Amino acid sequence: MTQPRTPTTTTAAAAPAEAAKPKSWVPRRSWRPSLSRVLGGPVFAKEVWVLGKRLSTSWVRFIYGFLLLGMLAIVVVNATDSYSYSGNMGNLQALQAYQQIAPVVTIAVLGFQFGMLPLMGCVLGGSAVCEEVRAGSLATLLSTPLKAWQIVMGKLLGRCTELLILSLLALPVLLMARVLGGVNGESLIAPTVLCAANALLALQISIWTSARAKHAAGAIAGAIGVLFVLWVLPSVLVGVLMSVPTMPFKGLNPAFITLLSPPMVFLVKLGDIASWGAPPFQTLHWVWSVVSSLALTGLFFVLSTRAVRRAMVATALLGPGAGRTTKKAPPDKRRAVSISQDVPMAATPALDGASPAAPLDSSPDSPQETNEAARQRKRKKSAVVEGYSRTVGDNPVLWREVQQRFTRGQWALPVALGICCCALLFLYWMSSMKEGLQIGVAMFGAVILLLLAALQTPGAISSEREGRTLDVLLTTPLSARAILWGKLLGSAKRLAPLYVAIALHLFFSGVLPGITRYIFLPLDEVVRFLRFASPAFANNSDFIPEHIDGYRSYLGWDPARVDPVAILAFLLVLACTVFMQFAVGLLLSAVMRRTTPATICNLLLWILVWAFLPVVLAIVDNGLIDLYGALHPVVLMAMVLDGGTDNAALSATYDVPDNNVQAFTFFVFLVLYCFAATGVGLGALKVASLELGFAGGRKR
Amino acid sequence: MIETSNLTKHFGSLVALDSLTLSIGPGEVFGFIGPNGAGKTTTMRILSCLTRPDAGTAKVCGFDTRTHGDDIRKCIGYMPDFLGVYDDLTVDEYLQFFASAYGIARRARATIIGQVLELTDLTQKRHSLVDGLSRGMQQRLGVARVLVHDPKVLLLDEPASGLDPRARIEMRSLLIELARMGKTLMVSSHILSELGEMSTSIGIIERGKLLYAGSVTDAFARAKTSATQGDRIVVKLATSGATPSTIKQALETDHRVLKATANDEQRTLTVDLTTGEHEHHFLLERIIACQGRIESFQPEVVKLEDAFLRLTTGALQ
Repeated sequence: MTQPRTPTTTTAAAAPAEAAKPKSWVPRRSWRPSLSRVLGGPVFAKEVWVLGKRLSTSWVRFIYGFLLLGMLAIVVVNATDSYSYSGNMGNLQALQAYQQIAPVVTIAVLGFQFGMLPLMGCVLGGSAVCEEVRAGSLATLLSTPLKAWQIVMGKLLGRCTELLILSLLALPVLLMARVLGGVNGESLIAPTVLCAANALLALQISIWTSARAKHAAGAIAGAIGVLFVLWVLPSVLVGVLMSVPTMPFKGLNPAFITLLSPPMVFLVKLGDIASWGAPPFQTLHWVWSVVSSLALTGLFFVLSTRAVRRAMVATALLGPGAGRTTKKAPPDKRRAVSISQDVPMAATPALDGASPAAPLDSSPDSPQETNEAARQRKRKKSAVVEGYSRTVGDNPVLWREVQQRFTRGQWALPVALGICCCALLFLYWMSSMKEGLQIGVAMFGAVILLLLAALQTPGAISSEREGRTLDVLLTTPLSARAILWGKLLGSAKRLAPLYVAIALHLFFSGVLPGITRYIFLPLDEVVRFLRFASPAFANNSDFIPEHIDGYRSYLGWDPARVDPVAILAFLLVLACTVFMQFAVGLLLSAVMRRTTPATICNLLLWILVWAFLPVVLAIVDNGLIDLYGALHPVVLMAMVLDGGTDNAALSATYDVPDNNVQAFTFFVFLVLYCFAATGVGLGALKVASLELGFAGGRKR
Repeated sequence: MIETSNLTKHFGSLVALDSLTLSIGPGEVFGFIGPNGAGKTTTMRILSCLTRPDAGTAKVCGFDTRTHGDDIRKCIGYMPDFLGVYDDLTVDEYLQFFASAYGIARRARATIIGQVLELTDLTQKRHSLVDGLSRGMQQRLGVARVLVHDPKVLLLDEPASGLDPRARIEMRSLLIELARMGKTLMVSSHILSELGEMSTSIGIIERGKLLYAGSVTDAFARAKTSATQGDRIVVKLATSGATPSTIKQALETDHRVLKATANDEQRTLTVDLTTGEHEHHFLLERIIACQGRIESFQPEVVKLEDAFLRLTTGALQ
């Protein structure tokens, strides 16, 4: 039974007080989740505005469209040549000609999209969070009712619009291929959807790495690495396991390997268009690949949300640049996170900068404790030991660069190297060190090294400019050349472990097995001496066949041997190419004001030179690609290893594209390439030096 | 120590500096004042060889900034308005870094760093991470950095910006100490009262034009001249005595009084004296003679702010 409400004096007294309260000029509305608010929230709107207004966005669109159109033009011209297209054809004949070239055009466009869109996803998302952390604006977002997942969603969707715009550039061509060229609808839709799903995954991974990285360059590199692993590792693992007889994977359909890798599925779907043959699995299995990509996107969305939340709290507590946390937040930090989800926080940095204002926590001890705890954690992660100072070298820039780690956390590099060693040992065991292993692993390592080299230096100068330390540096008597060489050598030091790992791999797999053969030569002599000296050995005529020959047959397998000269030549080409990429990256870093555009430009430049140009040349003319192949460092490195395997490098014949050349000619060419690469690098450094000198008020 | 002649710098259509000519002698503390975007930082950047002027010449320590950048870099210490720090270094490493950049031998570094840390009161933080320092400490570290190579000239761009009152006082004491050590200081700041206290000369710049350059006393004199034509005295009267209006009539007959303003409600009397040196006791005698009961008697102090406001229009670029 409900009791009737009676007016109380409290209510009557409260009324005038309510009336006296000044009205807020902001209409208060309760926040209800709705699709429009989630999809079109303030972060999304800001991202779209900012991306749309940036000059670099226009450049990216222009370059993307230019490359697409250029490739399309080359393909069409090449295809019409092969189909004897004539301008005097009738409509029907023209239509037939369209139908003939439509599959090739479709494959070229879709292939371009699949190659570029995930890459653009990695690039676009690279600056999403780390730039905000550096600028300190992420802490401001913490003082709003926005939740971390909304921020991630806004950033994801905002950047998706850019990807959508880029992907729409190819839409007219694909529609023409469908309407006029008669390409099967499913054959168009499947690769397009695969492409979109993987671009989305790349973008989401990039946002995740951005929330954990210090600079956009690191985030982009991390995203490319993670995407590459996700694309390749499952297939490789299953493939390896299937090849082991004792494993239960032995009876698995080999098509399963293909299914695990989105690029392979994509290629299979392109095969449908080109009628390359029956796909190794059911037609609709591409849907599985799309679903798995989307599921991974969801997983990385959750991870990104967590990472962004931690970055926000860390930025609020420690100030800009502190939003890099890796470990699970301790209870005090989690308390702050829970507050951030429910209650607006006054987390903007304090005006005096002495200590950024802590979250409004009711517990009296929490803000200071939280600050101090967070500082302590940061100190633990830092390479610097509190209470101890190192001695700075005579080139301070070089000293500082050398002190910086390639990976965060002191265990990351040893663990990564350990994993690599285990994987290599497994590969050695699996392959019995036959020919192909040495080249395959070395080339894989070299490509990774070249990719990392493209990402190492573009932020070297621009990050100093962004951190406002460049001005101070330029007012010292340090020359621009000393600064640049310090940066370059520091970058080289950071990538040195990978370079050394490649060299060690070639030594262990290519040189050492060959040496084991010669171990038996003195051993035979020792046995002969023993037989001469001791009757026991002399009478035992089975000793050598039983023990020595058996041991030799056991250990003396027939591995592929790589000539040390070939290894040295390989390492020389690799070093010169890396030097060139470092130097060009430094040049871009000196010229461009911001790290992200410099990184993107350097990455795109090398992808264009090393990957896109060969494809275009291959389409245009086989002769050109043969010529270019001889200038391509990856091809050169593969050739030198191939020629030096089981041959003396200085007397071998080298299988240069479309030709066989003698060692002398090849090595002369190799040395010329190294000189050219070094020359380009030194030239780039000289221009960078002038540019940096000019920034420091010196004469150009 | 610092000389500029018709220094001009354009950024596109914006005239950042318009024929700036100034001269700062050795041991001077030059306060550089101007609204935001007036050209203070551009001037300092040109003097520290970070930017090249479009026209005119600038000389520091007798060296031309266009031709002798390397020599100038050795004799100046430039502290930008926002101090970027390397977040992975300790205070000691940070100072070592710049000591090394200035070519100071390793064995001499520890002593020098110890001295500059003591001067800037950062000895306790020697092995602390730079980015863990408060803003005030980071600013002091910035000063320590510019002192590492013992430069003759210090160019300090807004050294007290963003500091709390205590840190500002400490920074001011530090700069006064540096001035005592014989350094030539060029300090830009928005906190004019501080500049007024420690500067021996000031320059006021607006829209790239130098409106005034000279001693602080001259600047005060200008402010006085243009504002009140002489000293201004504010007298607060008690309610029991004669009214301010009554006393005003009596005072205006004196030739030393330029103008008197009475406010009977607030019981105040503002008296502007004519130019020249006047003893103020004649006013007291007159007020007492008129039966006025004085509650307070305060000559108005002319501040640097007055000079600044009088000389600038406040227009933003």
